Amino acid sequence: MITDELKKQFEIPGSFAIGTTDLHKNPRFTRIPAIFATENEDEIILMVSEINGLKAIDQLKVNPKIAVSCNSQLDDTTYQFKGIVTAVAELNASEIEAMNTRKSITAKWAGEMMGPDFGVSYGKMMSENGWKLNVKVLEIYNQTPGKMAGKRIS
Amino acid sequence: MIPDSLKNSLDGAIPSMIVSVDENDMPNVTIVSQVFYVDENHVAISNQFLSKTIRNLTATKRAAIQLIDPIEIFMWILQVEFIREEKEGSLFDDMNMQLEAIASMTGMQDVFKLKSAFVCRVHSVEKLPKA
Repeated sequence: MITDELKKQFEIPGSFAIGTTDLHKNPRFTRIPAIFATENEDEIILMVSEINGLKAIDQLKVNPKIAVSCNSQLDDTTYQFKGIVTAVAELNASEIEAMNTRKSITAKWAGEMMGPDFGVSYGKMMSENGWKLNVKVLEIYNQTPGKMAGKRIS
Repeated sequence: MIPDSLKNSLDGAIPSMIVSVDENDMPNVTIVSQVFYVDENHVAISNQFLSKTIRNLTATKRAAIQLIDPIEIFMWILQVEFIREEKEGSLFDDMNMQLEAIASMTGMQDVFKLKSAFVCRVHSVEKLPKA
């Protein structure tokens, strides 16, 4: 289900975000710094920063349904993953390092594209804490603007 | 409700994102090309290829919209409620004109076709840190 092509999408400069909601249908948008593939073809791991992620974590405790947007900053290719959060854990030191390393890839790209000030500003947003979410992926959609937008691919 | 300082973020320079929810509490997150200032309490989103978002807004009414200030690069989050759909009139025409400009800037002239404007009441505005 999660092909090598999709896995590559996690590793390039990207814009990643999640949509969550409580049981009163109050939606929440949260930008996240990193997505990782796992050995399971229907599972991804999301890393959520403590900087802006607490409300999303609170919502996921009552409603584990989640939508994940994965947008390539290189060519605007965009996918949406829908699934269920199966586990939430605080990040350990090596996971925080991995999250910030992945984030620095986008920060470097952003600095090149939008100017060094932006790159420095983005770099200051490195996290010292956060959460790891295991997500069982149920559906994948192409959301690249154009004729394929909205097509379910898995 | 909508501060003047937010209006920079509505020019379409950086695409916005919207989270909606279906009747089974499953969220949907997608890019929206245009969030248009209507008045101090309302914005309108462009309906081009937002079929799931449109179904969700029609069913459950609520959405969260993320905007990015193109100069200072900080985020705004709007909590909104769907009010009505407009398929003609001055708002539709104004949005169509701006959307054509956005499409021209992004090379999407053949892709961006406005179907309708979804007018939403803004319930809250939250400013988040940069990036």
